[in-house]
Amino acid sequence: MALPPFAHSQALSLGVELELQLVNTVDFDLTSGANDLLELVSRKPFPGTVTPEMTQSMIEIATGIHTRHAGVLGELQAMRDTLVTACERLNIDLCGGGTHPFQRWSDQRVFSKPRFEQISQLYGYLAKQFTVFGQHVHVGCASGDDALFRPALERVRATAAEVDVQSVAGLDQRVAHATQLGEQRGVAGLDGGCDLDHALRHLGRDGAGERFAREQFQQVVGGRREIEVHGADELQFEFNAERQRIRFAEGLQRHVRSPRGGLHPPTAARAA
Amino acid sequence: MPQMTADLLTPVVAWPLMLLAAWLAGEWLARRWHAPRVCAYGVVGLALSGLGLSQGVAAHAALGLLANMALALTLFELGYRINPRWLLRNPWLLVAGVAQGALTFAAVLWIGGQFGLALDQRLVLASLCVATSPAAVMRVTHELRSAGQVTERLLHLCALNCLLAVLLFKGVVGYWHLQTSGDVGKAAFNSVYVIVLSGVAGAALGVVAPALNRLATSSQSTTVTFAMCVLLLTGISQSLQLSPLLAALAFGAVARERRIMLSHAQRNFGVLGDVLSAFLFVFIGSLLSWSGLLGSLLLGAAVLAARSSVHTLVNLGIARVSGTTFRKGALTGMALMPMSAFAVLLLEESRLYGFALARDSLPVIVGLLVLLEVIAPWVTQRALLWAGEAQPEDA
Repeated sequence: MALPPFAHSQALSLGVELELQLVNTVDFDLTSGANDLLELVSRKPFPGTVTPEMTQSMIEIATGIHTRHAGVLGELQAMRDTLVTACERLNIDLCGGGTHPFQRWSDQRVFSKPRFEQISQLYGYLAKQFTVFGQHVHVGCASGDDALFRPALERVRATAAEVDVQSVAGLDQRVAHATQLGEQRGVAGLDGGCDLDHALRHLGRDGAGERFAREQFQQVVGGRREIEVHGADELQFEFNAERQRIRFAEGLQRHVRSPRGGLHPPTAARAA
Repeated sequence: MPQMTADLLTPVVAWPLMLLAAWLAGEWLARRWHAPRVCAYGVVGLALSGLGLSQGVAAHAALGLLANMALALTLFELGYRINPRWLLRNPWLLVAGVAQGALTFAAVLWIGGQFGLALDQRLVLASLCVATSPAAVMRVTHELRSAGQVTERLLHLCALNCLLAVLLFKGVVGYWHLQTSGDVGKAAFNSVYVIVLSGVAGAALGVVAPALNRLATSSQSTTVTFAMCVLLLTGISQSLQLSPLLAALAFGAVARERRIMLSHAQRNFGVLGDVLSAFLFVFIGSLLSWSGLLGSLLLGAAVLAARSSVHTLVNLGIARVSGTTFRKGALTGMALMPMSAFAVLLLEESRLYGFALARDSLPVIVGLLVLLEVIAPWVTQRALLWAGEAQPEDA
């Protein structure tokens, strides 16, 4: 199924959605007051958006799109003040964030709206049980690539950082007795990973750096693939328990960390 | 065999038997007809009266004390639910409470005159009709686990109505003493003294109870501590000829301000509250004599209609300005119908303190009390359901 077109947003614009708890003033348990509160606040213009949520003890407020922190904060404060004033007329209190510590989920009532009733029918009691009150901070991205590329590269960087160490550890053993494996190829992959990490730090500001990072990304992936293929080939020739044991011991001897941290450069060693 | 049957039907056996029957009838009514259980309790009490098994029950001091304790527990919890700050932030509720009290008093006073009642009986009837019974209201809201504006306003206006009813009734008692004996001191004792000291006694216990509660080691102990305090307060109030109902209301209101939390599981005092509620409604029903019932039904219907109309119109009038819808305002008025338990106990308590008119007033209003005992809890339940403040399957 094709994705719909990405909605363009001004880069780094901000919007906040916040789900709030409605509690009674007796023991601060959740109370079904959304209908009454929404009806009351609808009588006058509301500074933002307020909508019902899954149960009658929840409401959601949302700011408009802002480019400055002060704008978001100001709108949130105005919404809070309006809601608190309305709640005071209804003998309800407002509470924010997370989950309610002692609510009885079976007492919660689903808000009468087709979407919520559909969810309730689909998921049964789970819809009431997972009553959470979250906050979403939306940050605008100019294009779909920006929205997707950053998280993927972040993940690659994290993954590459882990694979760096693992690859060196595995590489050390494999290079010692894998004459086909080009040492330069492995080092290039490691170097590419390090460069990628450096490049991603400057990704937000450097288009050239983005291109470089893209190239390094491809190199690391390619390098890893090649390393693993050779490793697998090597292991197939080493399918001998005694030889595995000796090989493992030699690998341990070679893996001595330097006083300054890091690993000794791989040394050539003859496989047993 | 007949002798054995007669021996078995003593109050010691008859009462527990009728309580069990009332409980089972209530469960059947709730399951079969989705009606409030308290309707069945009242009917069983009426049956007890009709079968002649409640003769002399009013003379049993222990039963009367137990009934007062049962209602005091409810009034304590009602006082605990009341948020006085809300009444200040939303003063229209106070306006509604005073307005409906005044209009109800005036309307019933006038209707009593149309039915040829004496002035003092009309005054008694009018002051009692200002009340809304917290026993039925609390049980119905608890059964439905209702929440929303109708529920909140119902509870707060119920408390206001009870307070006004006690003030007016004690004023009528004082006036009666003044008219019959000319004793100003006695009149003041039975009005001002009772009101002020009852409030002070309840408030004092509300201040002391948290200190006692610190000795409690679990949340269940908290419930027991407060229940024991309510029982103690009822006993003290009765001994000093104070109003245990007013004292319990004050106790609950002050305990709330001291922020002693009662958990959801402890509402209505759990099993203790269930048993005592059943007893209370059976007791109230047993006090209502069948003789004169038919004759007073017409008066009862007229007063019921006047009361309901006043409640509905006043709450409809202040609905929009007080922050709710006209529909919910009207339903709030409808839900304020119950009256019997509070009125009967208030009358019974004053009779014990020497208010002779109480004995003569009960037969006059028995028709109204029977009507309200049976149908009023059901009307309250319907109002809450129509307001969307309870799930239909909870009914």
